[in-house]
Formats: sequence, C-alpha cells, structure tokens
Amino acid sequence: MFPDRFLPAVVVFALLAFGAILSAAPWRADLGLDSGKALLLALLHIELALTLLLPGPRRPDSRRALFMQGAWLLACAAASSAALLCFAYRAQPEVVLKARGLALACWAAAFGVSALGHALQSRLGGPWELRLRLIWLSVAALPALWHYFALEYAQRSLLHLRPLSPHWLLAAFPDGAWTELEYWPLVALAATCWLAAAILTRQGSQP
Amino acid sequence: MMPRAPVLALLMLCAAAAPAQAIDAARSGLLSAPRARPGCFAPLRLVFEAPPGATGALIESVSPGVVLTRQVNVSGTGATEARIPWFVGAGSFVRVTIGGASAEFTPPMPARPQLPSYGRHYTAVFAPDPAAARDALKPGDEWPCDFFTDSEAFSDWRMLDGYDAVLLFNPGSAAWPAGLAQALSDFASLGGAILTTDHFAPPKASAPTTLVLGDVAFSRQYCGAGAVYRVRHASLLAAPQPGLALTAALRDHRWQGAPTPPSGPAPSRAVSEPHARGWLVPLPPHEPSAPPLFFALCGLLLLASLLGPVLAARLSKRAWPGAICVVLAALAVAWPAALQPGPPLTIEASEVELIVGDVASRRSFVTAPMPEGNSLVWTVNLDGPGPRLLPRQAPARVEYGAWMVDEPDSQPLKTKPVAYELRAGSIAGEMFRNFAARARRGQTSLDDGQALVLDWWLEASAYRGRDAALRGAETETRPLAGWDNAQWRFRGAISVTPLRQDR
Repeated sequence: MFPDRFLPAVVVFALLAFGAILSAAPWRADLGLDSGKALLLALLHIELALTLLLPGPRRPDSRRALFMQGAWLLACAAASSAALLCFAYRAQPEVVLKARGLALACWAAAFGVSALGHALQSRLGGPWELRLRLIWLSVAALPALWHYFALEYAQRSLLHLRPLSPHWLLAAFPDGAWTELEYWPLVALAATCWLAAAILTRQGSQP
Repeated sequence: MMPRAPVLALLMLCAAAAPAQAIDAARSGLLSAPRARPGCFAPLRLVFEAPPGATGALIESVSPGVVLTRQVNVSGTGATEARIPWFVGAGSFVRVTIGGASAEFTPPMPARPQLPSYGRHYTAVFAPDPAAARDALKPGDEWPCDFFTDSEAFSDWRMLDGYDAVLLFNPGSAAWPAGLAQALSDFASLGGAILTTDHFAPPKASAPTTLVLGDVAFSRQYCGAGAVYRVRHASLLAAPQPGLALTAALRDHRWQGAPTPPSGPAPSRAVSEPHARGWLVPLPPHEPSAPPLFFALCGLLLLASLLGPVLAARLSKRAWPGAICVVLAALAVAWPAALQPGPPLTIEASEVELIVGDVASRRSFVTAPMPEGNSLVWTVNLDGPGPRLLPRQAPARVEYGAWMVDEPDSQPLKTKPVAYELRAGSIAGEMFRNFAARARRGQTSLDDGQALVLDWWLEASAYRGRDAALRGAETETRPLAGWDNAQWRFRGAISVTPLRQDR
C-alpha cells in the first residue's frame, strides 16, 4: 500500500489525529474521555489497534530484509510511544510507560505474523499473508466479542484468551496492574513467528 | 575459642545498623494514657538519646495523609524529652531524625478509648497538685479526666485536640506557662469549653453573665463557639459534689442550653457533621490547555518520522539508516515529552465557619484526586508562624483523598447580609429540606456553591435539633499549602452562628 519507510509516519499521524479529535470533540464527555487519564487509555487502545490494522511490511526478499523489518518495527514502536508521550501534559506519563512492554510485544507479533505469512506464501503459494493476518486479527481483537457471544448464547467464558488479546488485557487492567508475564503468550507468538519466518525465508535469493 | 576478628566485625556491623539515636520506649508514650480519643491527636511524650555533637532533632508525627513536624534543640548529654501531637489511629507513628539518621516509634493504642458522647465530657485538668485535684473533683465514668501538672500545660491547642473541655484547677498560687492562654483561646474558638477557678479569660471573650449550676455560681463568657465558665475555687470546693457542678456547666455548653442532649451521635473534631453524612462529589478535574511544547514536540515528531526516512534514503542506499533516524528522533521527542509537568492536581475546598461575635474558627473540607503512583501528604510545621492549622484525613471516594482542616481563631469570612435561622428543623417556617432544595434551585440569595454546602450541613445538623443562623460566605484562602502543581477550586462556604436554646 505504501513503502515500509512511511509506516512510522502513518502511525504518528494517526495517533496525533485521534488525540486531537478526542481532545476537542464535544462528545468526549459522553464517551467518558473528559479526563486526561481516560484520553491516554483511549489512545493506548488505538495504538494497539493500529498494530493489528496497519498493513504489514512488504514481502522480504531475503533474511537480510527480514532484519530490516525488525528495524522498522522498532521505529514504529518508538514513534508511537513518542506520540503518546506528547499527551503527557494531560495525565501522568506512567499510564503510557507501563504499557510499553505490551505495545512492543504487539508490534513484534504483528510484524512477525506478517513476515511469516509472506514466507509461507513464497514457499506454498496462496494468500498466506492475508490468512495469517486474519487469524491473528481474530485471535487478538475479537475475544471480547467472542466472550460476549459465548456468555450470551453458550454460557461459556473465553477469558483464557485474554493474554493473547492486548486490548482485553488493557481493558481488564487499565491501571497497569499486570506484569510482563501476563502477556508472555504474545511474546512467545512473536518470537515463534519471527523464527519461523527467518527459517522459511531463503537466504539472499528471491523466493 | 571463637576468632576475634569476625566477632568484632559482627559487632561493628550491628552498631552501624542501629540508629544513631535511640528512642526510650519505656519513658515515651501518651501523656493521657490510658485514655485518648480515636481519630484525634493526643499529647505524646517522646524521650530519646541524641548522639554526641548533635544540636537539633526533627520530630515528625506521621499519620495517614498528614505529617506534623517539630524541631527541637538537643542538649549535649542525657536524654531529650519532647512533646508532640500524635494521631490516635492506625498507621500513625513518630519519627526522630538527627543528621540524616532516623528512628521510629509507635506508641501503644489507648486502653480506654474515649468516644464522643453528649453524656461523657472528656476533660483535661491542669492543676499544681494533680493528686489533690483528683481527690477534690472525683471524676467518674460520666466525666473522664486526664490530670496534668501546671508545668505540663500545653502551649498549642493541637495537643488538646481530643478533649471536650479543659479545666484549670488552680487555688491561685500557680503561674501558667506562657502560651497557654493562646492555646486555650484557640481551643475555645473551635467550640471547646473551658472551666477555670482562676482569672483566666480569653482576650476576645464576650461580657460575663452569671448563672447557678449545681448550686454553684458560675460566670460564663462566650469566646466564639466555645465558652469559659469561671467559678471561685473556694465555692467549688465548698459544694457537696464539685464534679456535678462542673458537669452541669459542661452540659450547659455542649447541650446548647437545652435540658436534654441533642439527638444523634455527639460530634467531635474526629467525626464532623458534614463528612459523617456525605462527602461532596468532586467535579471533573481541571483540564489544562495544550502548552506550546506539545505543539512543538508533535510537529517535530511528525516531520522527523516523515522526512527522516526520505533524507536517509537520499544519503544512503541502505534502508536501516532511515529506521535508526526515526528511532533516534522518537527518543529525542519522548524524553522531554515524558518530563512535562503533567496536569495540575485539582484540589477542591469547602468551608464551614463557626462564628459568634467577632471570634471565628474555620473547618475546611479538602478533596483531591490521588496522584498516579504517589500519595498526597500534607506537612504542617508546628513551630511555623501563621494559623495553627490541624489537618486530618477523612473518608473519601475511591482514588480520592479527603482532609478536614481546623483553623482556630480565624479571620471572619465576608458573609452575605441575609441570615437564615434554623429553628427546630425549619427555616422561615419551611422544612429545612424544602429550603435547601429552593436554595439549590437558586431561589434564595445563596449561590450554587453556598447552597451546596448549606444543603450538606443541614442534612447532617438539622435533625440534631440544633439551632443556628446560617449565612453564605465567600473565601479564596487556601487551607493548606505545600503542593506546587495544584489548581485550587473553592466549591462554597457558609458561616454558622450557633444559637442557644435558652437565649
């Protein structure tokens, strides 16, 4: 859609735009965003949503390009953190700083899933990148909805999917009363995806 | 045989770990033990040994949300004794700091807690001979007394916080220490009763009136919401039961001249009417407008994330310099962004003034949201100039802190000329709730904040059968200081003049 090098700019622009809208919108009080802490929490959710919704980096043509994607991952995570911290005049920055580990894990998982999808696509053919991203989106973004439907219709809880859903984790513990250990499945997923992508991507040749 | 070196090293380590000053726990404790009133400050004696060469010590009385400090001079040798108000409640202790090293001491809780009651008048008695005074007065369950010598008389009303009354039992020969008159004037202005057998009189007291209570003639003077009852020493001792006469005087004051006690639990400084019934719901916090630094940082971040990779691509064929450039720019923006002072703490204050004549005292109700990852603690220097404030923490909403601040002998507030008289639960022939509702609708001369506090006070006080004249008041005085990044919001103030039933 657009070159990898503009991913941080897109992230920054989106966060600043959402921050400006949520700060100035007349209906912000109706959404419960009239305090600075609520605004920062809303922006945190938007940042985590961007990790899921943004188109991933383009297909790596070699393992070296895979490492480049790691550099852009860091750039996106740093840029989104800086954009959120710009709003620290509205609330204490601890709200943002506490969620940095979770956000980095989300960025790593999103880029890892995308890289693995590209690698599988080059090996097996078929729209694997799209499939994996859809699966990842379903697992990470929809447990809250699943939980609702499960409770509503089947009287079952899917709360055990919470460590995989960064949004749900943040919603369950908005004050950061969670530790890094609680999102270890996210970290493990990211590491696995990156490792698999590195193995499946051919060294120095066009797939 | 044990080797010497390890033993010596162990001893040295133990000596280094011990505090430089040692608090003598056996000689330290509540002066009023075994009695004290929970939720109030009680006089505490602290005895400690200072290290050689020390000249001064900082004593801190630490209670939840409040720290009282006092600086004392340390004598060269021997034990040093200091007295400080100590909060009778969970989580409070005393800390002594000398030259950076500190030691802490938590006195035992009183074995006989004195809960507020209209039928029991907790009194501090100062007498040159406490044993003789105890024999003469014969305190009992209805009149619990703590006896102090005249040399122990306090020069700060904050040591008397838990008492309903103070009795100066003086045959006439003792000279009271300097500062006691000010302490008692402060105590009376806050509504306390003072019984005296000598010639003590607060400087702003009203003209005396004579009355006979328990077959003993008393002279009564009002001092703000409090009163001074003077009785001749000889006539008090000549009475068949001096204690009953003094209790009658205390009832005369605390029951507002009524033959029966007011209904409901007795108020004290620990449990005050408005906070016992409800706490003002805080308004949304003050939201600061975006500072210029915010726009500068946002613009810089946007430009760096957009132009950095483009310029890096012009300068180098590799892609990683662009990513590194964005990371460095983001870090450069994030650092000052995280150091922004944050929003000011919105602190709300409401005030209820007690005033009779020219003598007033003030109780401020302060509410503030607890800062993220921090606790809000107010520090009061007991030796400092200015009003002798005494804050104490109160129940508050979740994520909020609340304090009540007592200020004795305060400057009268600027009040509205119209006074509303509360009599038998009615104001101007209208039930107090109807009047409060009318005030909340803006149909009286009170503004929104005043109507809010008035409604609040009436809900707590009207059912007690208390009569009072109520006025709207204006205030902009911060009851507490010490928090820089704070936005004070004054919700409202009222002025209350208690009316006696027998006037």
